Amino acid sequence: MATLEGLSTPSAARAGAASAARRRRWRRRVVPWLFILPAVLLHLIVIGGPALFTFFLSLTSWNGFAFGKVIGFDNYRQVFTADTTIGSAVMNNIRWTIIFLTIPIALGLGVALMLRTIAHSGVQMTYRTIFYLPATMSSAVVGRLWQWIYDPFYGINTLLTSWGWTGLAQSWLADPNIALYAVANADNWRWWGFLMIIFLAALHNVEPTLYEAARVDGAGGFRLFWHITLPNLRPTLVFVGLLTIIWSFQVIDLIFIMTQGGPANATMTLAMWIYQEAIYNYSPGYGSAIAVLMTLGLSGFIAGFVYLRYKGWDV
Amino acid sequence: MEKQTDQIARNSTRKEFLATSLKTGAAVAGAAVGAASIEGLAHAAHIEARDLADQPVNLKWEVEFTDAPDQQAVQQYLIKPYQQLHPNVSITLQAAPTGTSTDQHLATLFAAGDGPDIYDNAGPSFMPPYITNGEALNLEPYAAKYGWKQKMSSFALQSSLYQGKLYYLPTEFESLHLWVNTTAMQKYGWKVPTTYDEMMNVCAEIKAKGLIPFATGMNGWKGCWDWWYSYFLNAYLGTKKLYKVLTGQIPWTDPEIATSYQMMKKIWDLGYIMDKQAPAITLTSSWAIWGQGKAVFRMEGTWGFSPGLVYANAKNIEWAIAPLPTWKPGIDFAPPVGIGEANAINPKSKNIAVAADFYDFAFFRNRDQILKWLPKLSSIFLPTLKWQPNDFGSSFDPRLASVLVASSKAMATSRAGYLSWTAWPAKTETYMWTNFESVLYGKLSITDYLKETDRIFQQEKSAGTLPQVPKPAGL
Repeated sequence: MATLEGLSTPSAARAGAASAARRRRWRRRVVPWLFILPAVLLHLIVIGGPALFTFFLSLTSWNGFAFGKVIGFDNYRQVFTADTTIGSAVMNNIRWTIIFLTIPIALGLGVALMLRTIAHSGVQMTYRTIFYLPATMSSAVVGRLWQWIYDPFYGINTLLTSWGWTGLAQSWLADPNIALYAVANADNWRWWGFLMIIFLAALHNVEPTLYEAARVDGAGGFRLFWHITLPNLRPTLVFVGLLTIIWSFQVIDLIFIMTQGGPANATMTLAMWIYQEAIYNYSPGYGSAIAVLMTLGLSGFIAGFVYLRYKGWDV
Repeated sequence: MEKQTDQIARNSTRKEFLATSLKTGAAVAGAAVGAASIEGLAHAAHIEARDLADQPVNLKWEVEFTDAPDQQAVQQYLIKPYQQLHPNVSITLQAAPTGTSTDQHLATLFAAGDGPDIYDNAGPSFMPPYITNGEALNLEPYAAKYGWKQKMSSFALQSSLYQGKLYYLPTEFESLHLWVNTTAMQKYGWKVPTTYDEMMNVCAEIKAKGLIPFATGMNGWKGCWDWWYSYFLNAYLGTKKLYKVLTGQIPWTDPEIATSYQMMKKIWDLGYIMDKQAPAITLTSSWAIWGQGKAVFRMEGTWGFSPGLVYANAKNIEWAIAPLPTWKPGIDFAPPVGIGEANAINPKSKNIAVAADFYDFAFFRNRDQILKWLPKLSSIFLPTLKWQPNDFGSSFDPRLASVLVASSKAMATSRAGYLSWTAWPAKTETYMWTNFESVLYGKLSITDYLKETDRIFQQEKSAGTLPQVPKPAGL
């Protein structure tokens, strides 16, 4: 009876339709949020909570035992005015970033371009597996392996000397001028294969007709690469570049295993310095302040990436 | 079964009543004599209550030694005999994961509210933060009950007091010495150096023969650099002057300290220490190099007996332990002696009395067992007892026996030098070893290094976190 009454009135019908439309809008707006709510909650608990707590710790004189007291921004002031190591740590991070923005990307892309030309899928797969294998190894294994290779008394120096190449035998991990590059080389050994796989996947997505059309127009190998391959790889390159920058500023694993920041802080990076201050030097409050500053700095890169996408860049 | 359960319940109730009564009695009595006594009497009450315990007790023991043979030996010679006496007690060993120091691991466990019942940390230097944060029990009542203070040497006892009270038991008895590859020394006719100049001369000759004068390795733990400044500060300043530095009467910027660092840097610059490769070599690899006869000396502590035997025996290298050379003529240089580990009880443990009884067994009652396993190990868990020559049988390595007796005598007579991990405050010590390489490589000037050392030291002095330093004889 009520239904009949409702249907009988045009205004009621309009109200019903409006209500249904509201429900649909609400569903469209709210339901997706409900679906991602567990992930958001998990993120808040696992990332947001500790991040906020880290910020709080950065305002304290916590020594790892007793909380001490809230000291405002004194830790931040100390970073900029009294810390004599952090400058060289940042410089090492910049050096590391430059190395990893160039060598492994060039190597990974170059080998991916070569592998793409191998028509036999089995042969290509064999090469891909061989080159990717180091990326599956844990940092502990890679670190120990390269420590042995660099051993001044039994490592590669013995081989180089026996071949008469004594000039190439170096104090790989004991010379402050070389140590950072030696560790970066070990990290690069396992890293470039991973990039090669990413580039190979991206190359497979480039439309083959573009190359065919360009060849018909007389384009050579370099022009194909410059005008077709590179523009099509731009999103991948930007993504890899962004990841490289972020990971380069977080690097600690191989440095911790192979040199512990030495010799004479020559391989000290920000993450290693945070660890040293927080754990060895009983200053987790101060270490937290450096961590917060590092996060803010890296957020700048991510914000730039987001801005470019917002502006319509295909990255 | 039900009857048995009832019996246990009645026993438990009686125990709880007894404990409560004793605690109450202790508290009432304590009210009359002051707060400090309350703490002591309450602990005493706890001791009595827990001594009656026959229910299962599990003690979690965080230990510093991580090598499997060391842990197995402790199980065999320490834990098993104790469990034979007390079958209701089980003791679980736990250690920091690889790459993490015990100090870091303990700090994390305590911060997470999961501290072990008993723990073994890296020495007196590292204990004040635990004490001030209420994570180390005042052991005075147990020391009185078991007579611990009478059984320890005065040096060890003095090194283990914090503001006059005993909070931890000194464990690893350590001293630094010159380890000599006598096979090489005899082959080339070299004499064991007794002074800095003699040391530099023989090092030059060793290097000329293509050998490494001093073997050592810092890769994996740069903290081992503190062996070196523990040595040369004693060897150049002498015990009395170093005591004054460590108690804040002389600043770290004293010119003589700078001179000793310059002398050290000269040794490094000439490549006498591991051919300047120490940061790239692990300690274990350095033992292998020394054991193969490629290096002549080690500036090493008593903890090296086990690897010394293993690596030297592998290649039939003859070796001896000699006193370290003095760096300044006429100086009162005594071999640096100290405490490598400090064992404490977590005040929040539910089994404090059992823990104290285990410590009494482990440190004092178990003396014969310790002698059995000592030569096989890196001197871990070597209590600072008053060792005598007749304590050691004929099968005991005479080199180890002589060092133990000599060090024990030095401690008893307060004629011992200081080790940094025993007598330095924690932050000062950490700054010194984390930046020592920078000084050797010339990346940090000695003046700036010592200035910063002094700044940190003065901060720690103001905060009251200086460890107690035993006064040398004659001062």
